[in-house]
Amino acid sequence: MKPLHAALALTTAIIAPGLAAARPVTLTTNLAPYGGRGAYLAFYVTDASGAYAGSLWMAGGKSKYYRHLSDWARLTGGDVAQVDGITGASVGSGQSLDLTMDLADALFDAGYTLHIDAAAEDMRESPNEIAVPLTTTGAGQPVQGRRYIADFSYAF
Amino acid sequence: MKQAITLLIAGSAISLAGAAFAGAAAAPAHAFVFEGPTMDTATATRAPLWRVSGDDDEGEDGEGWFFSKSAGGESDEEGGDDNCDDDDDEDGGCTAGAAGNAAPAGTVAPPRNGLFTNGTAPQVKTN
Repeated sequence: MKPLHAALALTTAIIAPGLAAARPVTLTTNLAPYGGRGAYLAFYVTDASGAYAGSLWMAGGKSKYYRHLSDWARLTGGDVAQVDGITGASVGSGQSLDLTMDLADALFDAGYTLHIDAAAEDMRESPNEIAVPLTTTGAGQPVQGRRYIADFSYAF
Repeated sequence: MKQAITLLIAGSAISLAGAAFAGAAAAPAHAFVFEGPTMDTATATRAPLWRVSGDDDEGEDGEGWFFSKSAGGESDEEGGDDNCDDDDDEDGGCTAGAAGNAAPAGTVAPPRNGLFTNGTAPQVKTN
């Protein structure tokens, strides 16, 4: 019996951290038909105290425009390294953006908030257009944006 | 008789010259009148209104994209590197490899910020 317990404990020890560490999360952002050129969007997370925790995605390739994502720029100092490797094209009016990423489980139900800043050429800036607490119960519930984003939701 | 005619001609010449001089002197007098305060007020009232800025958005709830000033006081148009403002983000003309731009997804690993599991790159789809 002892060998069976030992084997079970060993396999649990190997598998459990993997399960606890991350889960695939899909972030779905539907843009409103605002009629302008492609919108820049900064996805980032703050912790329970409101401090910047990290960036998840940057839609828009020209870093000289990142300062128009003003909350993100204020929190990061406009540090391009924050979005190296997680940057893609800007998103057009009326389009949708689906991002699937393995996020740490520790981000959920721990006071973290996902924010989206938005801006578009020749149009107004929209800092903190989306601010949604990351919780397991909040998954699948759309949150409306103010200017460029029709709605945003995340799902496991 | 000749003397009378000469005197008449001379008198006429003097009178005409005086009148012409008086007329010439009248112009500066008018110009002086124009500089008076009454005419200034009238001019100011009739002056057209010039719209200095056509950007209604500026200074309201968010700054414009190209016309706003950065914290450092430099506008986007003053940067000297806006030759590729008209292009697309995907065309690569100014974006790919341009100094200071973030590395696109897939070209380098995502940042180790504790939000992602290490080594997994986000998958992106746009419709």
